[in-house]
Amino acid sequence: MTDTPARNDDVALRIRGLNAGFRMSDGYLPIIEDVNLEVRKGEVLGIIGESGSGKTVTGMSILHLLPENAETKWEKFDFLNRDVTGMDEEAFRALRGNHMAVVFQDPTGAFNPAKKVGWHFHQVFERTAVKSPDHAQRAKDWRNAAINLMRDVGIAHGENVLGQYPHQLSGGMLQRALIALVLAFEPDLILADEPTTNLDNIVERQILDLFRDLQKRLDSAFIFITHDMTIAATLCDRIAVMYAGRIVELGATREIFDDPKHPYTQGLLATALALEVKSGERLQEIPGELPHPGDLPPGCVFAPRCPHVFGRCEVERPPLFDLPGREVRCLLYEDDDVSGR
Amino acid sequence: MGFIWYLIIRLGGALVTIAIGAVFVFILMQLIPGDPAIAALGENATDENVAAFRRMHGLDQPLPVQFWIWLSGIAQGDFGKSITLAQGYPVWDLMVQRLPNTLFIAVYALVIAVVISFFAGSIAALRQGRMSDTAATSASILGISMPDFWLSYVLILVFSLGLGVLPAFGFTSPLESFSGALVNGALPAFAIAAPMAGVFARILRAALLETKRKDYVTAARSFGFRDTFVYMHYIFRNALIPFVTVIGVQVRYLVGGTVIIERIFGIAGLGSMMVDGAFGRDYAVVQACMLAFLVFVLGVNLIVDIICAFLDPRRTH
Repeated sequence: MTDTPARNDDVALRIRGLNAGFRMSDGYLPIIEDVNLEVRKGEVLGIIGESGSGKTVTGMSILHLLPENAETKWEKFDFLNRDVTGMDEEAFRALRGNHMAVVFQDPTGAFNPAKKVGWHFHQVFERTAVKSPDHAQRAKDWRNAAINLMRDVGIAHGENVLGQYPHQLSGGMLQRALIALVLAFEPDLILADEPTTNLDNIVERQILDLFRDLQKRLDSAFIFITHDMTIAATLCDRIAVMYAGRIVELGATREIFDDPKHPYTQGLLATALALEVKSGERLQEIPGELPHPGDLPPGCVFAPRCPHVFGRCEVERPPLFDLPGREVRCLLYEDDDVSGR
Repeated sequence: MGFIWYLIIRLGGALVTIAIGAVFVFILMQLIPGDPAIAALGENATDENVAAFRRMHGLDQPLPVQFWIWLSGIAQGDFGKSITLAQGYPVWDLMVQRLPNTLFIAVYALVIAVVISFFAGSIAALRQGRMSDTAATSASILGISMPDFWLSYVLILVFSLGLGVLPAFGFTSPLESFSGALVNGALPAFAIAAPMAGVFARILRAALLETKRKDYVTAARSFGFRDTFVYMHYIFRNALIPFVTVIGVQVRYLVGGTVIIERIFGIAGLGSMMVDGAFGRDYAVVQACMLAFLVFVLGVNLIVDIICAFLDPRRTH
């Protein structure tokens, strides 16, 4: 990173060289490769990309929540200035919830259908009791604590919601309740995985406003996964653009939007812009399709779709080049690299 | 819709089913070839004797009248009299003697099947793909594929004739000696239970594996809940719903099982009574037994439905 080096204790999460993939019946399928991320306290990092680009796998890797047939490799995984790279699963489990939590894409699927919403709050508050004597005290009075939290996220009649089953509530209501559960943990890292994709437009806007509001109030590190450039633009401080399991560009949101470097980011922005302006012009789309993870091109993964492709792109896997305030995985910027590689 | 309403609707449905079932039971008996008078009096009976027999038992009446007499009798707790099996003996009295034996064997078998499948299914799912999974799954397939009458003879060969630990024949009424009934009923109950246990175990394994992949399990793990907690309150709790539902569906095999098994092990139960009644064209006996089985199956289904309603709030809310 070449932007102002953060004070060490400010960095909540630092990941170097993350690889993940799945063991399938016909062999190993690599999904993400060489992912490097850093999120500071109070900062929102957006991970954007098409579906299938590896955003969710990246997010779930961080929380060790991938399915059983997944394999992950890390060069380095620091969390709250603690090396958790090789941490055993039981110790890592203790970090989940109280220190890192997720707001899922499908809120209806995130609740135990056999239990009332209140049960979920009760269990979550019980789980937070180990954090401090205050938390333990709060867990005893979990009902009121839950009602207060729900009021914070825009649920006016929390006492009624506690007595209801998940299937009795709307998606928007459940997403608010899930956010309230995550807030109960007061986690140091909050991962939101397309939390508004399954909601209708009005509710989506409300939930996004809620996130914006929370982001201002909390000192947590946020990772916001989305495929929506507009959401990313309004919510995120920095953006990591993912393509075919790799981060192809990473930098401050404003700078990326003003001056996208990677041809993929340029294409993505042009498409988003065309959609927004709704001009009579033909929609500028990136030609071609996202390659299948088992069948990646030998060189740069974006080469087959890239308008600026040249000879080396098809044989060389470009590393991330350090530009001032930016990281770009593209050979066009080899000469601009300032890391002295 | 509240739970009470759910219960009323289910109960009403069961009553309607019993009423329709009664009609079918009656018609079915009339369709069976053979004359109860001949069955009772023998091939050489004179025409006068046969006519007298038919008159005495109301067999000369038109069918709708016979049906009405039978139905109104049941409404008053009178299931008619046995014609051939125990001539002139009230069917109700016969049932009272034999019902406890059959109920005991059926419930015994059900308990064995549920307990075995509970452990086999859970172990198979928890240790998916490993030796214990293969063992439990193979045992389930074995249980499903073994015919119960064949298994009965194997059990008799091994435990009665071979080891000599359990009796091959005869039964003690649970009303006389509960422990005696447990010992004497072990082999027949197990013979009925084995195929059911196989089915239950496979269902439980599949349900557990499917539930394990649900988003809410990932969500539960994201809260940092302990593995045992997630297993009990999320995975197992939700897999229980299809498991219990299947138990309700499979109860009819329980009835089919008792009919054969009671004959093999010489148990004076409703199943053997029905078989004897059918051979003797003893309409009242067979009809009463079939009705009893119908009520039993519907009763267990109702209980299963109530349990499911408690397990799955989506059914009643």
